[in-house]
Parts: sequence; C-alpha cells; structure tokens
Amino acid sequence: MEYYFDESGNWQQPGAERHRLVMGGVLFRDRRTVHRLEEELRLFMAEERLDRLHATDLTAAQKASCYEMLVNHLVADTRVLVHHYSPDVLESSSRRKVDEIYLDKAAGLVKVMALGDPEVRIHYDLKFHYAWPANVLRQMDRLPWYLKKARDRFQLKPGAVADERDRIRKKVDALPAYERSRARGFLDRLNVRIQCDSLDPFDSELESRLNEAKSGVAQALNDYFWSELWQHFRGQELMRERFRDRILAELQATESLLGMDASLPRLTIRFWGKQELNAGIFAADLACNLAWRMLSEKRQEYTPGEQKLLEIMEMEQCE
Amino acid sequence: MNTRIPAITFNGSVVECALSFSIEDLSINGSEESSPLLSERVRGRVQEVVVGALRRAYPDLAIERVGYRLVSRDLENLRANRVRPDGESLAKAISHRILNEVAVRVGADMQADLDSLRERQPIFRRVFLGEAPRPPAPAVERVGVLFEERRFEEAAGLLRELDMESLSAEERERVAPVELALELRRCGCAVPRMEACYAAWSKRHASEGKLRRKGHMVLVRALEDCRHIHAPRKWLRAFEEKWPVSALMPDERSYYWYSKGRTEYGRGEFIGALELLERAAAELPSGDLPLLAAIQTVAANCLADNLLFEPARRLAEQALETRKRLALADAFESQGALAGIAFKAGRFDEAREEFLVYARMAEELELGSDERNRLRNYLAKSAIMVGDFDEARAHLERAMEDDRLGFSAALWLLWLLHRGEHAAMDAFYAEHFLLPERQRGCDPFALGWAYAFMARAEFARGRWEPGVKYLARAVGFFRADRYHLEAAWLLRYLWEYPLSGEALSLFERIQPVEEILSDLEEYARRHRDLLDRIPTLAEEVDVSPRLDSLFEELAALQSGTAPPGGGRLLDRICLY
Repeated sequence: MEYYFDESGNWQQPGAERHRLVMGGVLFRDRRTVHRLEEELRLFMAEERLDRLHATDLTAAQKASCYEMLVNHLVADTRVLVHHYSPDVLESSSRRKVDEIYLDKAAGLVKVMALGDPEVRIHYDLKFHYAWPANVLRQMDRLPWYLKKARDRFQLKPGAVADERDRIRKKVDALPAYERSRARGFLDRLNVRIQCDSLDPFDSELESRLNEAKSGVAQALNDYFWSELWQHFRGQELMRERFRDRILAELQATESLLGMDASLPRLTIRFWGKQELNAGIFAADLACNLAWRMLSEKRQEYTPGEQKLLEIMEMEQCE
Repeated sequence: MNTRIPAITFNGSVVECALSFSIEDLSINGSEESSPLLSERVRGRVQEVVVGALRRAYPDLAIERVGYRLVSRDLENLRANRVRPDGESLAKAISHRILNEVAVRVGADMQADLDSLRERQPIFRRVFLGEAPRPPAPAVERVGVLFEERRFEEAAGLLRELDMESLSAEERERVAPVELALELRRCGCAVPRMEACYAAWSKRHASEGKLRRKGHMVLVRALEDCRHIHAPRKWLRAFEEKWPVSALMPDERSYYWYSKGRTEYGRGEFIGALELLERAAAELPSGDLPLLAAIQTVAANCLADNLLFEPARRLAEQALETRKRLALADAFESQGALAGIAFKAGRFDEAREEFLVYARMAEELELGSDERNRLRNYLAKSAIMVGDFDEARAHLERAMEDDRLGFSAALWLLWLLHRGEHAAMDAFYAEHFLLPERQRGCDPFALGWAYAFMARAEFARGRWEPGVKYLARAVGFFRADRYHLEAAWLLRYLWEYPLSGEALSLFERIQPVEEILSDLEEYARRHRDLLDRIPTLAEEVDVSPRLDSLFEELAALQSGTAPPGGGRLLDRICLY
C-alpha cells in the first residue's frame, strides 16, 4: 500500500515551537485515488498560477478549495493518522539529536500505519538537518578527495561573497555559546581585518596584503560552502538508510511484541522535495497543517472541507 | 497463558496475535468491568456467555452479572499499535478464562464441566455469594486511624492482636497495607530488607489484586521516604509491567500518578513531576481531599525548587489548610514545605518561625529516624542563618545521631563556616568526607554542599587553589546529578572572591564555565513555563522568569559587566 507523510510545527529548532509538534500520514490503499487527486491539483495549480503547493503558502480561499478537493477523494479505504507531541521532545539543543528524535517519531508513525502490510511504499517529505552549522564546521577537513579537488578549483563569484559571508556568519552566530566558542578559529578566518591605523598608503605591499586578506575570507567561505554541500548530500543518503533500518526494526519489534506470525515487508522509501508535486504528500501536509492549527490556535473556525477532514482523521497525543 | 486471536491492523491487514491476560477481583453480582480496553460489545458478550453458563450450572441462584477486572499488557500494546482484536474471539477467550477462574475458586479443575461446577454449589455460595459486605470491625478501623495519626507503635500493637485469617476481604484491604508499611519502617531504609519484606507480604496476599497494588505503592512510598536514588523508579516500573494503567480503578490511578510524580520530584525531574501531579489532580475522584493536599505539597516543592516562590507558597498553604481542617497528621509535611519555601526565598526570620511551628507539630507524632534527622537539620540551618549558633549546635548534635545521608555533617560545616572556625572545618571534613568510604552512603546533594562550604572556607583564608578544587568537586557532584541550578549558583564564588588567574584557569580546566552556564540557560528555557503545565493545580499568576534572571546575572558576572551592589536575585535566594 501507499503511505504519504509530512509534518507541521517547528521541528528544526529546539525550543522554537511554542505549541505542538505534529506528524501525520495518509494511507491510500488504491494508487489510482492519488493519481486522480493529483490531476485535479495540477489543474488547480494551473488555474491559480501556482508553481508549487504547500499549505502554509496558500491563501485562505485556495486552502479551502484544496481541503474540499482532498475530502472528496478520501474514500472509505483511505485513512489519516496524526501524532502530536509536546515541543519538549526536542529537549536537547543538539541538532544531530533532533534528527535522531525526528527519525524515531517518524519510524513509530510509519510502523503503526504499515504493520501487517507485506508491501510498504513510503513517500516522505522529509527534511534532515544534517548540515547544521556545527557539523559543517567539524567536517570541513574531512571531505572526500574528489570534493576537496572540486573545492580547490572552485571560486565564488565576486557578487556572491558578501551574501555568503552574511548567510554563514548568521548561521554560526546562532550556535549555542559552547559550539560558538569551538568555532572561534573559523570566525577569525571569516572576520579577518587589516588595522587601518597601521596602513601606510605608500606601502608597496599594501595591495597584495589586501588581496591576501580577501582571498583568505573567500577560502573560508569556500570551505564552509563545500562542507555544507557534502553534509546535505551525506545526510540525505545516510538518513534514508537509517530511516529504513529504523522502520524495519520497529516493525520487527512490534511484530514480536504482539506475537504476530508475519515476515518483514518489502519496503521502499522515496523522499520528495518541496518543489515536486505529490498529491499524497500534499494530503498529509494539509492534514498536519489542520491538526497543528487545531491544537495551537484559540480561534476554532473551520471550512466545511476542514470540518470533514477533522472527522475523518485520527489524532493521537504521543510522548 | 497465551491465547492466539485474529486481529485487524490500522491498514486493514488481518493478522494473528498472541494475547496474555489475567482476571482479577472476580465477583458474582459485583461491580462490572469498566476497563477501556474492552468495547461495549465485547463486555456484553462476556456477560452473556459467563452468566449464561453459571445460570445453567446453578439454576436456583440469582446470578445477574459477573464482576471482574481484566489485566493485560498485550491488549494495551495492541491498542497502542492500533491493532483491533476480533471481538468475538476476544470475548470467547475472556469468558473461558473467567469460567476457569470460577472453577478453580470453587475447588474444581480448570475447564471443569457444568456437572462438576454444580457439585460444588455450596462452595460457590460461600465463595461468591456468602459474604455480604459488612462494616469493618472497630479494631480494624482503629488500626487505620492510629496509623494515619502516626502513632505507629500503638497501631502495631493493635495489629498484633488481630487475627488476619478471620478478617473479611474488605477488612484485610484496610489492614494489610498498614501492616506492610509498619514492617517497612522497621527495615531502617535497608533496601534489600525492604524488598524481601515486601516479597513475603506479597506472597501472603497473592490472590488479591487490588490489595497487592496498594502494597506495591506502600513499598514505593517507603523507598521514596528513604531518598533512595534508583529503587522507587525500579519498583514503579515493576508496577507498570504488572498492572497497566488502564487496569487501575480511578482512585488507584490518581494515587499512581501522584506516586510517580513524587518519585520524579525526588530525582529532580521537575517538568515530568509536575505533569504527573497535574494528571493526578485532574483524575482525582471528587472528595479525595487528603490526596489533593499531598499532591499540592509535592507540587509546591517542585515550584520552590525552580524559584517560583509565590505560587509555591499558595499551594503549600492550601494543602496545609486542608490537612489541618481534616485533622490529618500529614499537615506537618505541608508546614515543612511552607517553611522550606521561606528559607529558599531567603526570608530566614520567617523560615525560622515556620520551622518552629513545624517542630511543634512534629512533637506530637512518632517520627522515623530519617524524618527526625530532617526536622533537626531544618531547625539547625534556620538557626544558623539567623545567627543563633548555640541552638543550631544543639540541633546538629542530635541530628548527627541519625545522619544516614550526610546532610547533617554538611550543615555542621556550614555552622563552622558561619562562626569562622576554618581550621575546625578542615578537621571535620577530614573525619567525615575525605575518605571515599565515608562518602559512599552520602547523598550527592549533601556532598555538593559540603564541598561548597569547604571552598568558601578556603577562599576566606585566601587559599585560592585548594578552594577552586573544592568548588569544582562541588559543581561536579551537582552536575552529575543534574542539579544545574545549584551548579551554576556556585559559580558566583569564582567572581566574588579575588581569585588568582591560575586558580580561575584551574577551575576552567576541571569544570568549563561556559558549559555550566549553557546548561543553566537550557534548564531555564525548559522550565520557563512550569506553571502552564499545572492548570488544575495552580491559579494563573504573573511570575517573572526568575531562572532567566539568575542566568543573566551569572552571565553578567562572568563577562565582568555585572552591576555592583545588592538587590540581586543571587543574594536573595538560598539553595541549601
């Protein structure tokens, strides 16, 4: 069967979410239902001149139409399950740990939905944060040789240097104090300054000293940039395997706990990007968005489509 | 015993699951099962099958319904995983088990046929229908009252005169937990002895589910009272494994949350503790005011430990008022909490008055050695802080007799420190804390303070390096036990004494200051909304985030930007 997942709430920054963290899945037993929904959504996107669909980007009227469309396709064999958590589950400030916790919760949700199914096909709008700044800095000198080679031959466009410097400095500044103090060496490279009062305009080496300083900054940015790219890539691949292993381990443990005579399912996982349209994931996105609003906002007014979805979906408070 | 039944998973797949369960508190015409584990349909079907079979076996008896409690971890697991067991198969398995249980209780074999059940009709009448509930005997009532009034010797004397075998099940349910609690008090906090004592008691009451649950909670409470680090949690886990929460009666459930909350509080897990206490309060059966007061007292302590003194005081006052109104001996516990709040808030004169009231209340009660020790420690430290050293010494001398965990010895160091007897502190420390074997039985919290007081003594003598070594050890004890607030609070001494650069860097090498402050920052962030977690317990009050202020003050001290002078939160609170 086909399973589609998404989440709502700020899962990325520990302490940033004030209300609830939400994670939800939609199960379509019949793949054709998703196809029909997708066709309708494409038409809607064309009419509304939208280049991507994401619940938080839509206007209230667009969202109402999407909920309407969705509930019309949620036929009897479709099920929606939403788990929600206290933001305290992300209690550690370590971003690496946030990924682990997310993975655990996601595997737990998949397990409940897929238990007993011999052929599980998972579609996930999954964002891992492997490229969090402290990790990027730590791995800077550990790139594989082919990336080091590319890095050494790469040069940022002059216009991009300032932007990159601001972006990276903002990221490093947001690190907890302890990590920031460990990144001091990198920050020194980034913040290199030539003392003005020591400058002699007739110094014959002034220009070369200025260029040297500039290229030092560019090199630091380059190092960060490539390490970040590598962590993104590595994180995605690593996490896919880990996610797969975690789901299978969860299923195995539960089957043994419940004394079931079942063999492990054939499991495929596909991660989808935000730019790609996947009607099933959009359905999960709408469900999570609605659940988050219901749990977090005081004003409880719903459109008929939202009301219907609330009746259909099952919500569970988890620890 | 495992039964296999068909079930349907969330996605509609049909699977077969193993199911193990037990039947407790079986009665005929008693209260019906109300476990949320079973649907109306299954419950109805079970009644139909069991009552039908019993009516066929005993046609001349008026059998209306069967009362039972279903205990099953497996059913809980199925529910948690959204697996729905087939109703008909489940009802069949439960009915079968109940009829087996009836057969065993009337002395027949399991899976007995109707004829052999019929033969045992007189036994069935005696076991299931013979005993109408009768009011408990006066002696039984008296044992309970004496125990609640903390007149333990008298309760034990009366208990010895009772013939347990002749008591009804209801009477046993009242008396047996008291019997266990008294036996546990005699074990003197020796955990293996307490566990053995409970095992023997539990064996004597093997067939009585509710009573065993009560006994289990009595054991947890006794272990908590001994401030044992791991044992209460271990026994709570054992409880959860044996009896799923959904199998508990409402009053038991509330007490269970309370007990769990109290254990978490004992381990310094304030968020978890308050959430559990809130749950206990929310699920409290109406009218159980004694339990509400107990919940409020623990919640007050949790809040006070996080510098929320005003809401803590309100809760402790409410608890005290309730307990006084109901003439409960436990009122002294709430009075102690109230005094402790004033002490932590740095209002030492008020704390001393409150502790004296606490002592007067306790005079009329029979205290265990740990409670006696705690009382004298409180009196001693409040006397030290108002400068009444003679009285403090008198209390400490008596407290040392029962000082199992090192709290009194640490306070003795505080007494010497306040008198400026630094050389005497060295000698006392050498005698009581220096050797690892002397530290072994001590509570890490007591050790942390003992080392902190020694650090201050060294600093007072201008001996910076030995001082920071003591201070780093003190911080280490607190951090190892996750007392982040206390660990950070101690950092003030680094900046308030004119320490040498070498001494500061020595400290930094042992305990990185950034890490300690970062722990406090994280702790303050997590504990910022404690009051929001207990809407049932605490009224809405506007409290400034004191933990954040404390962090800011310490960070300012560290960066050298702290404003000089008094009025700081750091100086207005006292964490020992």
